[in-house]
Amino acid sequence: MKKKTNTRSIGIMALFISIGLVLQYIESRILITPLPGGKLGLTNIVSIINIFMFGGRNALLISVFRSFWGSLLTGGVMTMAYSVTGAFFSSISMWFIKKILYPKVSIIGISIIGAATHNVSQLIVAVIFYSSVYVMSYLPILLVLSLVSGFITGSATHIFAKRALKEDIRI
Amino acid sequence: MKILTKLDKLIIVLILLLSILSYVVMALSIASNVPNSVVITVNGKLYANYDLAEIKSPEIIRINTEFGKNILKITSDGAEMLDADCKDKFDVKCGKITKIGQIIICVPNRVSVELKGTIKEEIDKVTY
Repeated sequence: MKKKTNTRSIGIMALFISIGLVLQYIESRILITPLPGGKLGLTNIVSIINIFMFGGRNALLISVFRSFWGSLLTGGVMTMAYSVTGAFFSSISMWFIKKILYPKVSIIGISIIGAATHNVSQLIVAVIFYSSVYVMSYLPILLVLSLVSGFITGSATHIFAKRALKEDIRI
Repeated sequence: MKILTKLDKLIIVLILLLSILSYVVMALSIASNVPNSVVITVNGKLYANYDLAEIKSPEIIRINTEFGKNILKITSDGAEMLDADCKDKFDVKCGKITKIGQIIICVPNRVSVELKGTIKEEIDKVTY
């Protein structure tokens, strides 16, 4: 698919923003996790697909917009700060990992990196908000959680990529 | 079909290592908020001071003063008033105290039992 921005790709990007919004909303309503902040990160699927389809810059835009509107749907100002920072940094990291190491790193690896960056950047926001370094004691659990959620969302992305996009997205 | 590449496994191992490392760092740097001493005062004056680290088995302390009699039990993690000769026995109903800053007071007998220690920063609740 072309990475040039034309009317068609703008339309598809808008479609992906709304898919991401729905996923974010469903996730906030349905998934109950034992830990606060521990989420599956379903929207990560959309972010990875966007990186492959429209390139990193557009994917970054899509995920930041998506998390902005999504936090209006699901939470408040605090949620927005966490969500937008997480989306921003995880998109950037996945973009760079994809750019530098893609054929060597599979979609699952990219997804795990994205989940880990997402969690760590949100934790840094929490440290700034609570002006307390002790929030960092959450880091070990979050890193292990990001491995699990990154693996799950990465596999889902792989299945989607294989079926929907007839492209050379290898694993 | 290979699902994970070599680099994927490397990433997973690295993140696991990072998490273990951060856990070790956190466990070393964050001490728990346990009290380290019990201070008993009668009529505003220091009556006794016990170091909780030295108390291995529960210890019964009888506080007999001109204002009344109280029986206090000190364990390695806190203190509890077992009996008192005052009328309302609010100090006995108070139960066991285990946290820094908690205090048992018997007003008729002018006795107060307080747990002391250095409070590390603590977060009450985190919401998302």
